[in-house]
Amino acid sequence: MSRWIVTGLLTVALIITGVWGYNQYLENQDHAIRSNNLYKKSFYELVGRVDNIESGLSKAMISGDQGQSIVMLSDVWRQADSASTNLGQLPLSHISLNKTSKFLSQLSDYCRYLTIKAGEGRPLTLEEMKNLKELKNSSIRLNNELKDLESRVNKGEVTWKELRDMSNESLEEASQDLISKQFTKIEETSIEYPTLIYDGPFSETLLRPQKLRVAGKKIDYKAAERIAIDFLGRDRVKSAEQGPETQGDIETWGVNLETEDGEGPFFVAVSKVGGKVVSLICEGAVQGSSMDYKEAEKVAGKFLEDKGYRNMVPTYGQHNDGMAVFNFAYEDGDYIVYPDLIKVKVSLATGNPIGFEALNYLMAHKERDLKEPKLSLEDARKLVNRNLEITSERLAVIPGKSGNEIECFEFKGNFDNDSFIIYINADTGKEEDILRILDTDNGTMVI
Amino acid sequence: MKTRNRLLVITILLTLFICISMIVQHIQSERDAEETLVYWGMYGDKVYEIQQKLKRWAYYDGPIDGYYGAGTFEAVKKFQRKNGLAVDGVVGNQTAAAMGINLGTKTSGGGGETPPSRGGDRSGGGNVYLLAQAVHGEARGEPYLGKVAVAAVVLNRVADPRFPNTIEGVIYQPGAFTAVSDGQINLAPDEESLRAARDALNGWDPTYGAIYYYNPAKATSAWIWSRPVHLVIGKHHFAT
Repeated sequence: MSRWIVTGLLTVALIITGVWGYNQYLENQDHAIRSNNLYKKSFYELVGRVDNIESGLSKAMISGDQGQSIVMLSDVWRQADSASTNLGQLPLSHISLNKTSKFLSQLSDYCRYLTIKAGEGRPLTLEEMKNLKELKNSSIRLNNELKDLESRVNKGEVTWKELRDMSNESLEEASQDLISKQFTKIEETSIEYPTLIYDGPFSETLLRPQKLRVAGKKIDYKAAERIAIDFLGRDRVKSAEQGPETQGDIETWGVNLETEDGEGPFFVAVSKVGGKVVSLICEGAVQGSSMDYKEAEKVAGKFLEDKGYRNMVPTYGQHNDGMAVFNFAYEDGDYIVYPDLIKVKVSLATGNPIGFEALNYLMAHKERDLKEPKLSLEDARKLVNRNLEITSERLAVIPGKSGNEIECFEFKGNFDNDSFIIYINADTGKEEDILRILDTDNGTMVI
Repeated sequence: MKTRNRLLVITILLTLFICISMIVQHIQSERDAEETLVYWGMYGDKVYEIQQKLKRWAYYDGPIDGYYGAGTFEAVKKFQRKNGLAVDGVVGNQTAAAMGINLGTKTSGGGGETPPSRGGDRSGGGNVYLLAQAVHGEARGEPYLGKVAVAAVVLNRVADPRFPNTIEGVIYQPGAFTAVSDGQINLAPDEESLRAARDALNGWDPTYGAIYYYNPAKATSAWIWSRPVHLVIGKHHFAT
C-alpha cells in the first residue's frame, strides 16, 4: 500500500520537474533566439551600410556637380556613422574590431569635413581626392570580407550565441572563433587607409598624445608631497602618504592627504617635471549648503590667484549636491583664451575649495602672439544673423576641432527665448561655431 | 527496515518540497515581471486615468494633472479600504482591476525620460545615472579615485574613434564591461558612484586618457598585458 503511495508521489514529482524543466528550456530558447536576432539585425545593417558607403564614395568621386557631391558625401558620412554604431553592437571582442571601428569613425568624420568644405564652395584638392580613392578601396575590401562572412553566417556555420559565450570566457579564446577570426583577418590585412589630416575631432594630428607644456626640473616624490601640502594649506594637512603615480605622456606623482578638520581625504596629482599641481580631487562627500553660489565663485577666484594663476576670469559655473564647479579661462589682453581652462570646485557646506583641475591649462597655455583682428567689430557684427539680439561681444580664442586655436569675435545673444553664443573668425569672417546655452537648474553662465 | 522507510519518506518530502518551491518561484518571477505598479512620485497617462476614475467616484477632489501626489495617494488608500483591498496607497494589478484600469504599459518614472539623442557631448541627468551605474557595477569597493578613473575611461572611449561614440554605446558594447554581461549594471548606484560619475563628466580624469583597465588577478588575455600601464589604483591597472 505504502509502496503505491511512494511510487505515485515520486511520479508526480518527476512529472512536475519535467514540466518545469521543459518550460525553462523553452524560455532559454526564446531568449537565445531573440538575442541572436538582434545580433543578426546589427550585422546585416552593417553589411548594407558598408555597401552603401562603397557606392556613395564612388559616386561622390565622379560627380562633377558640387551640389551633387555634397549630397553623396553627406550620405557616406551618415552611413558610416550608423555602421560604426552597428559594429559596436556585435558581440565581438574589441581587439578584433579595433581597426574597423576606427576606419568607420574616421571615414564618417572625414566625409563630414569634406561636406562642410564643399558646402562653403571650396573644391576638393588633389590630395583629398587621393584620400577618397584610398578610402574607397578600403571600403571595397571591407565590403568583400563582410559579404564573405555573411554567406558563412547564412549557411549556419556559426551562430552569434556560441561566439558570445566564448568571448565571455576570454578575449584570446574568442579570437579562435570563426566570425572573430574573420574580423581579425579584416583587421590584419585589408584596412590600410591614408593618414587623414584635416580639421576634425578624429584627425590623426589629434590622436597623437599631448604633453604638458611645463618646463623645469624633474622632482622626486618628497618634493611633490611638499608641493601638495602647500597647495591645500600647510596648517590644514594632518598627514600625507604616497598615492598612485602616472606614467607615460603625462607623468605625475600622487599624494593622499588627510586634513585636521576632517574634510576630504584629498588626492593631489603633481607633475614630475616642474612640480605643478595638475589636479586635486576630494574623495569625501559634502553635505548641506551654507554658502551662496555667488560667494563660492569669489572663493574660487581668490583660490586661483593665491596659487599664482593671474588674469583668470570665470566663464561658466554649475552646482549640485552641495558643490559648485566653476570654469575659468585665461584673459590675454582683449582676448579671452578658452583653451587655457582651469576648473575649481568649491564646497557649499564648508566654503573651501575642494577640487582643482588644470590639465587643459597646463597643456595649452603658452605665450601667444595675438594680433589686431583683420575684421572690425562692426563688420563682424554684420555677419551675425540679424535675428539674434546681441547682449555682449568680445574677442576670444577658441579651440579648433583638430587641436588648433582660432581667434574669433564672440557674440552672445538671445533668439526666440534661447541664448546663443556665436563665434565669427576674426580674420576671415567665417562662422566658426554656434553654441546654444542650456539653462539647467544647476548650471548658469557666469558672464 | 523502519529506518529505510523513514529515509524514503524524507527523500520524497524533500523532492516534493524542492519541486513546489521551484514552481512557486517560477510563478513568482513571472508575476514580478508582469506586475506594473503606479505609485507616489510618478506621472503619466495611467495616473491621469486613475485620477479621473477616483474623481468620478468622489474619492479624490484634487486636480487631474497626471501627477501621483499626496492627494492621489490618500484617495487610492480610501478606495482600497472601501473595496477590501490591501491598503498601501500603491496601485498594483488588483487595485487597478478593481478600478477597471489596465496597467499593461509602463508609466514613466519620477525623473522623467531622457529623450534619445545623438553625440557624446550631452551631459543630461540620464547620462550621469547610466555612467554611475557602470561605475557602481565595475568599481564597487575600489577607492574613490578608482571610481572616477573608471568613469573617465568610459568617457575617453566615447572620444576615441576605435569605440562607439556615445556613453550608452560604449557601456553596452557587448563584452566590454563585465558588469554589463552579468547584469550588475542594473543595480542602483550609490551616492559615491554618482559623485564620481559627475566628477568625470566635469572633466576630472586621473588616468589622463586611459581607455583600458583590468584587474591583473582576473585578466586572462595575453593581449591586455601588452598594453602600457600608466596608473595603478586599487585592484585596477589603467592602460592606453
